[in-house]
Amino acid sequence: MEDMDIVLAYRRHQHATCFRILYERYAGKVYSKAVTMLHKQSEAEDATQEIFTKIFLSLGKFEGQAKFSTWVYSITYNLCIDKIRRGKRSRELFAAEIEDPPDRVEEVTDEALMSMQVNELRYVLAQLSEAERTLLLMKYKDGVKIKTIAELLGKTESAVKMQLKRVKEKAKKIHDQRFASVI
Amino acid sequence: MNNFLALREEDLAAFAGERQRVVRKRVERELRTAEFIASMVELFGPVMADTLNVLGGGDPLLVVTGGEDQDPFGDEDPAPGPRTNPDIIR
Repeated sequence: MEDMDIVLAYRRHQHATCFRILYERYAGKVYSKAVTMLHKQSEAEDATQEIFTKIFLSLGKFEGQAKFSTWVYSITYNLCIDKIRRGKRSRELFAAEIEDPPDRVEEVTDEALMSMQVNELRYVLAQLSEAERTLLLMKYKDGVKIKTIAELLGKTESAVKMQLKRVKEKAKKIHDQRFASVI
Repeated sequence: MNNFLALREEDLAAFAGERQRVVRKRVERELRTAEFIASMVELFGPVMADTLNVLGGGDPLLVVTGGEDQDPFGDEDPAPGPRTNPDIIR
């Protein structure tokens, strides 16, 4: 059954089954994105609850012009960004590095990052700042497009690309320092 | 292989099951509360607004029609009573 059919059925009858089907389909994805942005499991769970409440209360406004999944993700990101702003973490997330003149950055391939072992990746992510970690996870874990990241963070696409390039370089450096001698 | 996806799978696995069920229950409770409040507003909102309006000196907006005081047979002639019979001379 398509998402839109379930949405229409829920609008007509407010039936618990429709709610559960949609919840089961999207709960994991919403939670995963919330963890990417908020980093703490408890905060991500609270955010997931708020996001689903918002989704079902404003389901009447969804007209089906975009895909339901796109609509869900936009609510997810907007709510997480609001939470970050309220937590006064926005300064780091939104302002960093744009003003800095871009220095020479060595290009690190995506494969170099993706081929890291999971435990290595966890170590590297833990060493990065919150903004750097969020950027990397949005791009590679959630597969968010550069254009969307730029819109969400209020930056230009080129600024996001440059920042991503730096973060990849930093991640590679951290990885090599810690694990290169082991290999 | 993209090990970021493996991270994602780990996140999903950690959330699946009991934690996902608990969050679902919380969402259901919030939705029920919102529905209850909306029903209350729908039911009593107009009456409350009218009451406030009248208390503020305005004319009532809600007019109750069809009360039990109305005579359902009003358009018929009233039943003859003792004073309506012209044949009785007092």
